[in-house]
Amino acid sequence: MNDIKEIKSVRTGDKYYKINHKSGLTIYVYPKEKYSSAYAIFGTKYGSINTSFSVDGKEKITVPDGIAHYLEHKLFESEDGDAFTKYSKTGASANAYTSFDKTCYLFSCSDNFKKNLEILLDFVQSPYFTAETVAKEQGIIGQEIKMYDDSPDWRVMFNLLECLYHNHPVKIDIAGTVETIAEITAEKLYEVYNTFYNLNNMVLCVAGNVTVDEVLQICDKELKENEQHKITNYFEKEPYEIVKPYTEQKLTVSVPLFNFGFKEKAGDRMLTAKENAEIDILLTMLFSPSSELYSELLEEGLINSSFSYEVFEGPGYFSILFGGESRNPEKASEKIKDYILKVKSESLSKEDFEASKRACYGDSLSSLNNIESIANTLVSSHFSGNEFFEYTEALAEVTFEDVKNRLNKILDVNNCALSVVKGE
Amino acid sequence: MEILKREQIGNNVFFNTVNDSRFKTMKISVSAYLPLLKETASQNALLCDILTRSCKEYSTLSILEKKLLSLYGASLSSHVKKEGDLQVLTIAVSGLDDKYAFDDTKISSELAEILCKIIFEPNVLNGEFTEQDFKQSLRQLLDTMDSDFNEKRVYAVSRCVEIMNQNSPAGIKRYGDKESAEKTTAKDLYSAWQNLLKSARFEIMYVGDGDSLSTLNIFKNKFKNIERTPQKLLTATFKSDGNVKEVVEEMELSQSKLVIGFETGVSADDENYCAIMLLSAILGGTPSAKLFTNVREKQSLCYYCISRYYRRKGYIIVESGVEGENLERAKNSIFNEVNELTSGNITDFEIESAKLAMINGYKSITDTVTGIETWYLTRILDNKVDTPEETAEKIKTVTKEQLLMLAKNIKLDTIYMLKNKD
Repeated sequence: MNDIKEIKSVRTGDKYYKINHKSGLTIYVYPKEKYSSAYAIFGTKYGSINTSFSVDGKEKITVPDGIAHYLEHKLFESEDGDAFTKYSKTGASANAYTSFDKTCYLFSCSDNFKKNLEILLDFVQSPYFTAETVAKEQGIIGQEIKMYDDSPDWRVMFNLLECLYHNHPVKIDIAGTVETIAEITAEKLYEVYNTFYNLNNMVLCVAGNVTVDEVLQICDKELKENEQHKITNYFEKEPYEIVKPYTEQKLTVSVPLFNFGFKEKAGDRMLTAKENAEIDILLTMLFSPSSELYSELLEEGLINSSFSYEVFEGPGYFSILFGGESRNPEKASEKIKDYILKVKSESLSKEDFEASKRACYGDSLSSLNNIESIANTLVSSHFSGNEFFEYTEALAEVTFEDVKNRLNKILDVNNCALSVVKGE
Repeated sequence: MEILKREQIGNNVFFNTVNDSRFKTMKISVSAYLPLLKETASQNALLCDILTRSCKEYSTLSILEKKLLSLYGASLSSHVKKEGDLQVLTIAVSGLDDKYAFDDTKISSELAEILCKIIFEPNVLNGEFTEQDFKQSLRQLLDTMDSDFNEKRVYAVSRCVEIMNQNSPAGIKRYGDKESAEKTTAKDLYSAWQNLLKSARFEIMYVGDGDSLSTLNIFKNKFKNIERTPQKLLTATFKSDGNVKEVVEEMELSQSKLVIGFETGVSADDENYCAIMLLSAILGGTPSAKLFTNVREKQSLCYYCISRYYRRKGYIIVESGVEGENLERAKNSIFNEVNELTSGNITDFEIESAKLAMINGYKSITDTVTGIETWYLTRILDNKVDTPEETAEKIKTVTKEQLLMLAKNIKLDTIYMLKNKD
């Protein structure tokens, strides 16, 4: 039997359904009244960082860098044709992506929802890899890698991750390199597929003009019960300290870019909704365009409106990243450090706290407009072990004291690194 | 969703409303349409930016941003874009719908007032903007111009567009050029601001569930006090000069870029507009398109190979990123597909799948605030403004004969290659 639970937001009245499907898959359905389209995303908790693993305590297997992404490309082909051709008969707009810790397949459509869901569930469950089809993809992915090699935004981030992480595979490019993908074979693809594309390790999230019944009708038909296995992922021990404080790469750019990151202690679990809420409020107080630091950096010509910050977190890694364009990244990063030292020794402003809390609340509600962002967030919340609405509720609970305490635990100015990309 | 309601509130000033209760946010934008000219493009771009830095009441960016933060993290943004031979300056505010505030803050009316103050009561003294804001805007504009060069895919397409439109306003960059930006003064921006209020065509757009009528009245009163002499806005369909231009530039890169521009002769107000869009989609707009299936999937030459139709000018641009040594092969392969198209080799499956994909896309547009806003703003100058649904219906009725007739008229104009240095 499928176990269906309704989950409601006290604050907005919005609701979704969480279904523990008999096949082992967890399904979320978030109906949006009066919407004209639906968006579905089917994901596995398997990304570029899962290169070393074992199943049910058997021997440890190590696979080439970039294999999760390669698999994503190849899964579109099944023995009875490729998924894009099937979608071309329904009109859905389909895509997929691989990140550090997950691989997701998705579509959006305004008609033929059930047929589209059937195609999605079917092709993700029907791997078909041969030496020939695997070889064909080398050229395509090779060009994808080269496109990213020229992307200053992409390079500046991975160069920073190499400065922050000694051993964690988060520092390795998601698509691997032209050399590592050359080692990928059909056998290796089947091996990772059979390990990670088990329905117990996956999630399906649907939002839009859909009902639970419609989704379950297709799921009951398409999903075969999967036996649960214990997957163990191995990550070498990662020290707290960074690798090196600075790195620089020359690319053909006319305005230099930087990423500046603080490596944080990553526990054996992901951040809770409350911890996330505390950090988001704090970062808004300290670094948003309304902050004292932002004005100063602008005044001194050290940043422009491309300046941004983010919490970068996944299994075994956690850091706080800043990025943007700057004619003097070293000075910008020094100012950020001085400012952090200053706010840590002085006190935070209660007024800023209240305004930032409201702003984070506003942001979290805005994201409920968009069916794509709803379904994507449901996927990440599920994999990190949080419930979707918890974050909005947690924002309301965070106190000024919580935020002050949080500040003392993060943003260690002795544990940060700067990555710069500049012109020749 | 209700459809667009449109009301003229001044000489060439229009207030457009889409009332929609589905969203938790609302958005108001003011767009000014001006001729794109070499002499004024960067001044206008600077103006668009400087207006959002402060105003009489909120005299610094920091004060302004603090105010927005207190309004549940509302946002104020500006952007400049090119629509054919026109330059469009847009300033927008967006924020949470009033009913979600946990106190009685009237977010939407406060935002409407801020937007008005920013446009009509800027921070000017003795006929010029403040030195502080001016310096920031100039520095950031120069950074933005450089930043467009940083992303080579963006840069390569902009070079192709420039080469195609050497003798037309559409060849001018949306931000103008560095030289004229650097020559601009804080005083020039004051004149540009006055000129904007006097002579631009204004399209104000309200999307949300709130009180659009009071916003309409605020703007109506403001424009009442301005003596308006709107400029004529002309934009011409692209016409190739008959010479194929082939330009190769070299740079230190991992991947080379190939961009090819074609004349179609059909732009937004043409009766064949929907058919030409469909034709571009058949060529390279979907994963079942000719370019994706052959250049990428069969020959493994690239990761992306797409075509895009530019509605206001009516050209098609094909772009791809390939290995330097494969540039010629990729070029031939793309031409091969274009020849298939122009010689009428189009299957029913290709037509049907492109139709379905486009119709699906149009029907989804109304599910986001930005989707609705962008849809209408890019079409507001059309002779008749269609809803996404109406466009979807028109796509359905396009015939194969129409496609074959239009395909014959597609002409190569420019080949631009950004080649990696050996």
